Amino acid sequence: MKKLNLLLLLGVATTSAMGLSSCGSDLTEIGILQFGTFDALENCKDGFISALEDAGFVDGENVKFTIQNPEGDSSTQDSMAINLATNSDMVFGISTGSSQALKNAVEDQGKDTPVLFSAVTDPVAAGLVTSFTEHGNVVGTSDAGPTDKNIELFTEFEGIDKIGIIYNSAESNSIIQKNEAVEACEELGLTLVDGGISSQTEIDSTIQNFVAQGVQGLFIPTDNTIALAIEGMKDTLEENKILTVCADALVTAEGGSLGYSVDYENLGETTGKMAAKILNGVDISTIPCSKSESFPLSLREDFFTNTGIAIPESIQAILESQEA
Amino acid sequence: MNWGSILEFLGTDAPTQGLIWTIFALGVFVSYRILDVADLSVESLFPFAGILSLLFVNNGIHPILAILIAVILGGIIGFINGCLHIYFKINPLLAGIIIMVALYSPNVIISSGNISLNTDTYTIFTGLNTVIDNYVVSKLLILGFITLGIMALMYWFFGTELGLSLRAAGKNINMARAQGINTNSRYLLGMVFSAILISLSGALYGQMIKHVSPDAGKGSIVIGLTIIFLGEVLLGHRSFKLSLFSVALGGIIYWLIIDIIIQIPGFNTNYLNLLKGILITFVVVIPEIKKFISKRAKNKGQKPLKEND
Repeated sequence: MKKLNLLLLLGVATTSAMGLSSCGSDLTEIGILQFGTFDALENCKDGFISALEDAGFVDGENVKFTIQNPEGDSSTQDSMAINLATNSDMVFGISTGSSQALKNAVEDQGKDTPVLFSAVTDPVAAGLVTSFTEHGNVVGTSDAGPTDKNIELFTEFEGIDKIGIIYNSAESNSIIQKNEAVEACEELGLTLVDGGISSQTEIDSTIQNFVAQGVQGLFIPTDNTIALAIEGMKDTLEENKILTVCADALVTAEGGSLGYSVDYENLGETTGKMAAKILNGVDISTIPCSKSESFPLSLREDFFTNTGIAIPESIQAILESQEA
Repeated sequence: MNWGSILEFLGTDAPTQGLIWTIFALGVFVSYRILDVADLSVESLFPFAGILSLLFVNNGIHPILAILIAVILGGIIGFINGCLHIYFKINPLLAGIIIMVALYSPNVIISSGNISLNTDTYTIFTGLNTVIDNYVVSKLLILGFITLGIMALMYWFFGTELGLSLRAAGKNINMARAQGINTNSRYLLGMVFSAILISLSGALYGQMIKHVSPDAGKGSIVIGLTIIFLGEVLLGHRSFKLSLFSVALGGIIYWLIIDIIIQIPGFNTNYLNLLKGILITFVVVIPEIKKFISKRAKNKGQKPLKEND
């Protein structure tokens, strides 16, 4: 009896899995895999969808979007990637891991479904593309930020010669930016204190350590772990008058001081335009991958009023020219 | 049900992920069910082996040899984990946590955050694929063969005198000592055995998925334990052989559940974990509902008899 029930259960499960996987439609299916729910990734997705809409590809009319989000779980992400690769005519990965999973799933199934990616800092190192122009059926946008420009910001302020960097050392994007920061600091003669962490719980002690070592500035790369924790760090940073430069505008707005950042919505739009070209029949191999070009400077005025640090004229000039 | 749709089902992720995680859960089974230790080191050991196997393959080492080295190194980690408890008297749970935390750094350093397979590099799976030219079938063949091999090996080993003494040491340590069993060496052996299985699943996972980050093991102990409990509820654990099969069944059912959920058209995947919880609860309570129904049926059938008396 027990065995019979079990067989029944297995049978029902398999048939429903098969039934679901085989139902298709006439619409062009676009599968989107988004690693987690972070503002940057959400903006990227919204930009992608709105760019496609502008090009005449509207959800429910001629295309169908399937958005899946494993909430940071790697093995679920792989399941989702295989599912999306099976059922979609085009797939879009947001973040390095999601894009890799989609590319591998498409390859494993022996298909040549176009794979688009975004929010990947170094697509060449991630094995997604051979170079920005040689990329087979994979194309997309890199979110490499202006790390050197951000480090230069510290030199606009007086008396800053020692800065810290805090990032999750398991995020490849952050490690790339850390290496860039090390180089930029060497050039500008700044001392950099490395604060690689493995979980949110280590943030407080790392900041305390920075304070003890007498850093006057802090650089935060585009790092998902820190992005989630920035609001909790705000008070400590203000108390100790640590100038915090963030490579993410949303992080700046929530608890940083200022910083040049990548516009993720713009990045998503650029990727969406690539997708529209492919859907219109343009050969994917003729479309080059691209980097973000415009880096708006953002600034949280509260930090400067609370700490009494004056905003240098050079930075005010940049902000004014941006508004114009 | 035609062959095409069966092939399509096999092409989904459930059977292959299920087999990988079955090997993983068998490793957890050895530490949790046989030695009675909740070993958390697996959270770092799993990506450790995955990262190593990709690193070796990228450097031109044969994929099978890459897996072997990764497994041996994983076994050594398991040995250290065991030693922490036996020689330094550290609570086994804490020993596992220590390894989990400490191994995270090598994972990050070796992978620099995320390691992926170089293009045109052979893995154990693509190797077979060149012979039979069907990637899904080659994955299933290799994983199925390895899983069955491990189950046979475990069934044989835990039936030998050494294996039985290991099980005895886990069940009742004082009784085992009274029988003259060296429980320390048995504990070490068990931890190495478990670590080898975890590393094997990690190494295979790496070559199958082709990219591993140090976060890949996040939550893996939860998956392993869920698989064990799921299988036990469905098949029971009356005999050792049945326990082994129940783990394999649990592994496949677990991934089937996830696969079914994510294939629901228009499903908002933010609800995935909630639905996963509900479905697992549902599967686990089926036997209880069955018991309840059969009990009521029995009572109903007996009542008229009593009145006749």
